[in-house]
Amino acid sequence: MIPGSLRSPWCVRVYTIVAASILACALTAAAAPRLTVEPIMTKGPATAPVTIIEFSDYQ
Amino acid sequence: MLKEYDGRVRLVFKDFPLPSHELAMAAHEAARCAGAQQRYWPYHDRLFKEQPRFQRDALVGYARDLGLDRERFTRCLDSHAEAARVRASRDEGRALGVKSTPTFMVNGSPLIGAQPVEAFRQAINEALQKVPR
Repeated sequence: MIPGSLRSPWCVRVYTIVAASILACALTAAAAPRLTVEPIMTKGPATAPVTIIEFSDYQ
Repeated sequence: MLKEYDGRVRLVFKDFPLPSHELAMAAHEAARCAGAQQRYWPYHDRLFKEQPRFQRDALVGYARDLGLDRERFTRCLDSHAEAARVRASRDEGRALGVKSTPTFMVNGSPLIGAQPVEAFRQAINEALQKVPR
C-alpha cells in the first residue's frame, strides 16, 4: 500500500523521470560498441587511469 | 611512453588488418598464435621490424627464432584458429568508426595516423587532467 503522499502528482512526475532515465541508460549501454580487452595484447596495469587503444595493421 | 607514465597508462592493441594488405591477416593470426605460447609482444615487435615479409615460411621462421613450439605454432597458423578473433577485433574497430591505421584512442579521444611522441604526451596529459582524483 503506497501512502497517499507518495502518489501526489509531484511524486508521480519524479517516478516518471527516474524510470525514463533508467531506460535511457539501458538503451545507451546496449547501443555502445563493444570492445574486448585481451590480456595478452595489453601492456600496463588494468588500473591505469589512461588507456590507449591502438588499432593497427602489421602490413 | 609506458615507462614515462609509469603505471598511469595502459596500452591495448587491437587487430585491424586492412583488406588491401593481402598478407596482413596471416600476420595478425600468427601474432595471436605466438600469444598462445606467451610470446605475443616479442612476436608483435618482430612483425613490425620485418614488415612486409609475412609469407607463411617467414612467419614460421620468426616463431622458431623466438623459441616457440614449431608444431603447435604451425598447427595454429594453418588451421586459422585465430582468424575469427582477428576479424572480431577489426569489426569492433569499425563499430567505433576506425577507418585507417594506425588509429589510437586515448581514453576514447581519437588520434589518427602515425603521430609524434609529443602528440601522445599531450593527449595523455589531457586525459590525466580529466581523471577524478
